[in-house]
Amino acid sequence: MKILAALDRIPSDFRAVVLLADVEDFSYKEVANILKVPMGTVMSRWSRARKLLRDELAAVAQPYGIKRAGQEVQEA
Amino acid sequence: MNTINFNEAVCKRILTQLDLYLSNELSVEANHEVVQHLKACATCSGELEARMRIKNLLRRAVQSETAPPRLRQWIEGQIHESGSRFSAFFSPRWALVAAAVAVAILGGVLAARWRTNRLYDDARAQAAYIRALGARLPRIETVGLADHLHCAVFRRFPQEYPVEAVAAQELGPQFVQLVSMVKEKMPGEYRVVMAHRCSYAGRHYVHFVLKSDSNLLSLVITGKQPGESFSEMEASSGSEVSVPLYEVAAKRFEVAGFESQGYLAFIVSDLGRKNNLQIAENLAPLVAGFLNSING
Repeated sequence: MKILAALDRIPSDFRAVVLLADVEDFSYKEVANILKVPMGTVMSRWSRARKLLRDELAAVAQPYGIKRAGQEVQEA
Repeated sequence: MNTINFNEAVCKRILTQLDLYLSNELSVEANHEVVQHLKACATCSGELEARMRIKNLLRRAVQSETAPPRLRQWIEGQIHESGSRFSAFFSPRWALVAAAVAVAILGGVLAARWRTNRLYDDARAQAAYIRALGARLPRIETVGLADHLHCAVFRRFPQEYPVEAVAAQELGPQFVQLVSMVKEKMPGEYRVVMAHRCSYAGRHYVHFVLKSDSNLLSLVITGKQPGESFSEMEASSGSEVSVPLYEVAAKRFEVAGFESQGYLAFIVSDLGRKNNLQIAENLAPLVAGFLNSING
């Protein structure tokens, strides 16, 4: 529930990319067609969505290995 | 892993390609470059793992959060009810197993339908979803799928729909006879929740929406436009009815199309191929015969 709540808290344009690409399994090219935005926009929205989600999820998903944005790369 | 200190610019370039790598959308050369880089770069492979964890976590969360509480209660009620039904055929223990399997399938269908409605909650997103699914089908089959999605999937229906009282007005004298044909040929648990004329993307339809407890199905009819026919597709081989049926699937939706001289017709649902085809086989001969009779 907390993970879905985190998903609900991010802007809807970002959420749409996450849901279409990761949950519905549309390719990024298809996501771009669905949302009628360039591929670059899809990539940047997903990148920003991921940063927001990492921050949102850090508190609840530590056991799953999810850390705050930036932390993963620095500590890897 | 033997790690190498890569130039920051190389890592930055690889990181921008990771999502495409994950969804298998890179060219062979680019894919090879990413794979080689990941073998040697702990920073980027750590980032890849982090992205995969988030992806899996989200997918599990959304897919396990199958339905709002009211729907979940309803599914639990169905388990109990199915258990009673199955107990006529199986021992109590196996009745419960059979009920659980049946309800798991049912729950999956309902969950997928609920997710679709949750994801595509405005007209623009719905139109985009219809385009995306249609892109995977022969153009002629998108005609039926689009109207089902637009008019049946993304819509709520009243509990009571007095089809006999409103059909003549909704369908007009030309198509009102279809109501009795549909009722005659559909399994008893289905009720007509909508019978009307509608239009989508500039095309006009006669549309029946039918529901049982958990199933949603459309009979979609539209006039042929110049050159439109299923003749270039291969008819379903298993079908034994006199009217050829042309099947396609897009995501969870099944479409079985057939035609008369002047009309295209489609049975569209998310009931699985076998059930959708069976219903199409029941309806197609009568409906196609009727449509031929009104061609003039």
